[in-house]
Amino acid sequence: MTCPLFLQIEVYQPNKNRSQFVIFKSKKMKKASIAMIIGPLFLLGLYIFPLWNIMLGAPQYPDPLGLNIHINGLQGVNEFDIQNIDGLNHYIGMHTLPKVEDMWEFGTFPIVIGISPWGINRYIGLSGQVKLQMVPWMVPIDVHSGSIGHVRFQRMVNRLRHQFGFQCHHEIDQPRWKPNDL
Amino acid sequence: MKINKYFIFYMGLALMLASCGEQKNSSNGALSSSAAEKVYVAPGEQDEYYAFLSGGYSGNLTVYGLPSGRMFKEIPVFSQFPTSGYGYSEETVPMLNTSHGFVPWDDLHHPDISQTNGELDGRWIFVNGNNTPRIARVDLSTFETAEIIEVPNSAGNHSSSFITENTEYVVAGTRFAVPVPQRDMPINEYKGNFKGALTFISVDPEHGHMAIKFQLLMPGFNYDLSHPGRGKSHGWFFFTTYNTEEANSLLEVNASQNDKDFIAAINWKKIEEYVNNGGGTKIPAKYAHNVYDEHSHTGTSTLKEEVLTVDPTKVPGAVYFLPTPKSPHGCDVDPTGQYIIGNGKLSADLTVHSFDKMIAAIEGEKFDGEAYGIPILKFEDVLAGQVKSGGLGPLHTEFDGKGNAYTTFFISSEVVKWQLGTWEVIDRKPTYYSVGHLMIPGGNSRKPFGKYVVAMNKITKDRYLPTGPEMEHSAQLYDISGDKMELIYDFPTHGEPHYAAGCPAELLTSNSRKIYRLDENRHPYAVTTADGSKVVRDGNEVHIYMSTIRSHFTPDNIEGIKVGDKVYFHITNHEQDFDVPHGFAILGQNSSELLVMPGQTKTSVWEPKEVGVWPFYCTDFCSALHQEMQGYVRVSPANSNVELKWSLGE
Repeated sequence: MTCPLFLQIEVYQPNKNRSQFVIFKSKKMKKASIAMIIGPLFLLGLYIFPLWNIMLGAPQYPDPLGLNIHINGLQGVNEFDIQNIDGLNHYIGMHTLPKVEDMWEFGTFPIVIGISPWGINRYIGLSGQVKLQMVPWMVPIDVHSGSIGHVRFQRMVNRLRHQFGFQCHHEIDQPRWKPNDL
Repeated sequence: MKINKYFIFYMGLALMLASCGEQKNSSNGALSSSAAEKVYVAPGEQDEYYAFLSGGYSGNLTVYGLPSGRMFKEIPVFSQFPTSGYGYSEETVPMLNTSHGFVPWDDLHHPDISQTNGELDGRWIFVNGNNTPRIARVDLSTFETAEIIEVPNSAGNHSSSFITENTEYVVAGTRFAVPVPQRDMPINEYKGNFKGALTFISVDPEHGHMAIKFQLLMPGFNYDLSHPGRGKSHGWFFFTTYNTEEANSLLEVNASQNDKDFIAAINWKKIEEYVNNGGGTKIPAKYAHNVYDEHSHTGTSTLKEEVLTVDPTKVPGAVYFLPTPKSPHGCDVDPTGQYIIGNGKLSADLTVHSFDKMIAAIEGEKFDGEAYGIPILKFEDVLAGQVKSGGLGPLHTEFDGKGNAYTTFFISSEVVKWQLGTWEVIDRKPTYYSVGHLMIPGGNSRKPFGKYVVAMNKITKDRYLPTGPEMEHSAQLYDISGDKMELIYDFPTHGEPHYAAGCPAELLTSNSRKIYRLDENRHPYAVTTADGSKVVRDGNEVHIYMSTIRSHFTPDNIEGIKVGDKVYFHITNHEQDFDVPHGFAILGQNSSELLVMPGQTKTSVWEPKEVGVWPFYCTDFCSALHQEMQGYVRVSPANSNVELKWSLGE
């Protein structure tokens, strides 16, 4: 199988009419451009919906405690879930969940997600140098750039999961109790 | 041959025994297994109905599930309750205030759930205190006592606390006739001088707050039980009476002289109109009105000074007497509002009056004399029919909404099912033993849920493992979904249940509160922030603003308290999680512990009498580190200079 990306690069021709905003060379190309513009719109959902959701149940929590990780902060699934997770974490000696001001990512993410994929696709989409085959390739690139790299994202989630450590709270033999946690 | 003969004989015998045994086992087994299936609520599953059983002399209300018979809660109403601190905490002591001072007990008889358009709405449940006449309203979102109003000029508040079909009024009738107003007079001058007050307490449709609208001062009979009219008879209220003889001694003989006593029919809409137009007489009367505020978590008691009374003879067409045989006890109205059933407790038969016939007789002015100016209708003119039950000692009747009525018989110890209209007995089942009230969920409404009936007995004897001379009262559960009643369960109750009220579970489950919101806590001594705790001295009064969260008190070390101080522990529970109360107890507390719900504030007073370092701790196992939830108060001599200070984790 040939690599479609190479094919595209091979057929890529710099646009001579940069002054013009949109030049659709063919119907196919028009479709591709629209897809490239609409695609990142879905990322706008991150401003409303959580990036990640963690639900934790236990025999004594028939209504599980839940945490929604949004790009700009943490929210309990129910009103007092964060407070209750913090309360449970407290007595096994863990830190409270980070507030917005405790993690710089919560301030940066909304801006980065707003700019980067939208910018890239806009450039490609509006430049008119797009073929439909490119679209599937652009999606992972967008997601990747949108969260400034998968590594950063994964590290953030891991950090939260570590702090969200009350899964084991009913099996405490040796509470990791530190006076400072008071 | 011989061996063979014996062999065959024994084989035959064995077969006979085996088959007999099998027959017996299979019939019993099938019966009990189907009954077991009907009452079995598997672990983790929930009951179909709530049942609120009065606690009688426990003064409280108990909450059960049906069909399992499991008890979920005891709601303190008229009695101090150390389990939660009710009646001990500073906030709840005012709830038990009366014109006679602090009365920490009562005899709770008749729960009734609020209604809208004659159907249960599940907002509140009203109960009566029999001894020091009071009516309480329990909130069915918090399952806590929200309000208590004392009823003046009443004594033995027994024909209570029944509500009209839109919860316009909760009605309280007196069992004892007494001088009104109370005064010093010879007991044997009772006849003609004592009065029987029937009290109509209005209920605010939004908040449920109660206020005495008027008291109807009836002749000095004993008003035993009552029920509201509904549907066509909405606007009327019916009370059974006994001791129309007006005897003041040896009533068991002297109050059983007349062949017939009365059911009093009260047209309360007419009296309401009379009162709204300025009718009635205000007389001095002292009574307490106690209201609990859910946001300040505090009860306040107000002493009222007067009450509006109505002379029934001043409101023509408002009150009539329906002759009813043999000292009637229960007074029950069927779901359509057409039939009024009077259970003559010394009779074998039930008397059923017809509302339509009563109205016709009133319109035709067919009276059979009068009593103290109140017209008496002719027995035959109002009688709809009589149920020849064959039982003895009928007490109370409930309805299944399918045209059937169920009556308890105290003496013959049974529940009898009969048909409205034909008055035919359909079925009868024994109770164990000597049944008083019975309850069908929604039985006192236009829309009963006729699946189960609970019979509440007065005598337990051998039903359970013996527990010395005193035993809890037994109750039996019958499945009434078929033609014949089927006894399916037997369970002990708490205190002495009289009446009960029940409703489908889903009417209450979604409204049942899980926490009190800390951000709505308006208690003047609440600590609503993590760092808000403090200790304030004001003369010899010390106020400790303390908070709790798993698993510590803030503060947990307090110094500078002196012998002779009056120390107020104001405990605010900072949890906002369902079912995480914290308790508070301190050595030498002269009251009870406190059980503080999430978001709530409660106060306990402690007056240390000796110097020392005294511990306090959480009484409710709240977390894995519950045992560590403890602290110390240092108490110094009265004249010491130890500085007042408090800390946590220092």
